[in-house]
Amino acid sequence: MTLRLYLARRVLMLAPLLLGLSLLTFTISRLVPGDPVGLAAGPQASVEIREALRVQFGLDQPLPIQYLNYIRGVLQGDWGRSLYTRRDVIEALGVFFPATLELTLAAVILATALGVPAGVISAMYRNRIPDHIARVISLFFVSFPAFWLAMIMQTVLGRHAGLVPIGRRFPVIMTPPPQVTGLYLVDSLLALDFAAFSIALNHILVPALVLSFGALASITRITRASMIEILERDFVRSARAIGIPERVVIGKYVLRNAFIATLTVISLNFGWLMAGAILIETIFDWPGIGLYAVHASLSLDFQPIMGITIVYGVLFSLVNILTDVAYGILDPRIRYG
Amino acid sequence: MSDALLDIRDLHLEFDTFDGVAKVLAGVNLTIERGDVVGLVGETGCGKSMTALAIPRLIRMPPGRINRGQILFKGEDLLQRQDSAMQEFRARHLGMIFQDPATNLNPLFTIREQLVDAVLYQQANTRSVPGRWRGFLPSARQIRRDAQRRAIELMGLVGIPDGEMRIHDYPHQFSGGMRQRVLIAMALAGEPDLLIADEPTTALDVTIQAQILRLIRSLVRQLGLTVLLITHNLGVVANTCDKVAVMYSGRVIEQAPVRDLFHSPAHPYTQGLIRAVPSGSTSRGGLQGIPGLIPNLIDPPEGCRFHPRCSQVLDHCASQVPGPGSIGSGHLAFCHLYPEGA
Repeated sequence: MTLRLYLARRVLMLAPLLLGLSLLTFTISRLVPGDPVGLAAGPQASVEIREALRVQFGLDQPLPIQYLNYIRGVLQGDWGRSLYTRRDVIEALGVFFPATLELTLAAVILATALGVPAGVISAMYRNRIPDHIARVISLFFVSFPAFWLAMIMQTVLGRHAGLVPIGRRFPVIMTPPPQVTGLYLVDSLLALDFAAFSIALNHILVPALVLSFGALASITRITRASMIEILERDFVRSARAIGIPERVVIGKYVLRNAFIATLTVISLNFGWLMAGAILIETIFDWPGIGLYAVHASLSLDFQPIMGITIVYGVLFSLVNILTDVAYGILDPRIRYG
Repeated sequence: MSDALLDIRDLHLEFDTFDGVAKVLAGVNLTIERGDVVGLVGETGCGKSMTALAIPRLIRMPPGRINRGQILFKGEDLLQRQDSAMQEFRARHLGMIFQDPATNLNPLFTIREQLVDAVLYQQANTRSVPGRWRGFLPSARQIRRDAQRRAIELMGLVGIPDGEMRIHDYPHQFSGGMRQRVLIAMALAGEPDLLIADEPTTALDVTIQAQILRLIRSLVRQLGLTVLLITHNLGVVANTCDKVAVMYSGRVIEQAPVRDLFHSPAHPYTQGLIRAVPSGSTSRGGLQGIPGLIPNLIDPPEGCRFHPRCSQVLDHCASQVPGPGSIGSGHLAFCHLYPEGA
């Protein structure tokens, strides 16, 4: 099977998956006790006003009809609106989602860039000083609660040292780079605005670093374990025996083999970090989907909850598909099918 | 003896294990003359492969430890070399192939990638090899292109047809015999003086075994290679080697030209080993073994390690390690039946 065919099939298979996901979320959100309309209308609202709201949002219809109406809307690009703010869900997602994606991507990249070399060094100097240092550091960071580390770094680096902003994506008084992807780092580069790039980088650095810590430890450890396993393989001895220099043996031949396991952990972490971002966003006042999700869940705001779930579902599935494709690129024996 | 290509003298190798110190090699003496094909035979666990791995210093230390002996290559003691200088030695002077061709090639890289690297890094000046990041430079491309031409040549040399096409394949697209040929090509890329072949045919079909052994013989003729062939198969030795060394429990106990060893084995262990080979006339159930078990390496017998199983044991066998006794031209036995210098 060719790669294109494989991708087409995987993307098609997303449809039933997302349908199931939306049905599940829909059912759960309606099963939870509570009256969002009552909450939205306020305690003084009359019965008529509540009824009017109910009709306006289609909540007077039977549940199956509500669900079908929702799905029809989603397919037509109308993802509903918030009961409270009346803001279009799709518009809100367009604003908040890129912020979370940027934060999560930055954290994954940081965790990989720090974790893989640390794991390689650990494996090369197994049970010697550099290994111990790398292991203690990764244990150290994974052992602290992320919110605590976040506040410490915010206080020390932001408030006292004044090295980085305390929160937000971009200074409120400045205009962010023209939106193309919604990721400020990418957009500022696309606009060749290096000043904006460095400002955005300065803002994202600490939140992304804190977010990456949890993933950093697992990436370091799986890279170490996997490298150690591969280092014992016959082909490593063979390559050394005919005089291939150690840096080539490790950096080229062993690392590619070991990276397959690391890739699995990276992609799993991506999902966890998306979820973990909610906490970090709250602390750093990061205008991402996390805060939006928290507010929506607390007030049982149906439409945003559905929209957020679907976006997370799509993203998580896409990461999975990309990972599977990457396996095939790393290991030629893996066939798409 | 002074013009020997490789001269291993009294090599002792130990491993720290949870149960104690395993004395894996306890005074290996082995001489390999230029142009010879020397077989190294012995049972499982006698130290054949450890001897082979000790020569290019591929044994991890710790837990391994070489605490006595010399490995003289062209008169230079390899044990005195810096670690960093060993890579250069392995690249320029040594080729090595191993037992299972399925696991000795990296599964994720094409034959081209691996063979071209073998060619490049075995060239005289490793530093001039363009790494992956410089691969976009035209000069670097040219270097890799030249190396690829040489790689295809090598594939022809080891009898892989269609090298131009097959060089782009991955190891799993090759058969076992062809993979071993690729590994031989990689080992020979730097025109080594010495090829160490550690059970090169054990994992292969019998017909393929014969082809690989024939290939090694023909390479010896064409390239003037010197070969150390490690095997537990006496038939392979008889067909392929000029000389043979027999190991028992961490020592070479007899070294002789092949014909002498098979016709007049001197050491009682060698005699038992040759008797144990089943022949066409061996009746069912008539296999002749050597009574007893191979010694424990953590607590080996004193003196000659074979004495507890030996049928011709003498009084001092249990206390003194026998030195080399000369039996004929190039025929040595380390046994008290043949006193040293006699």
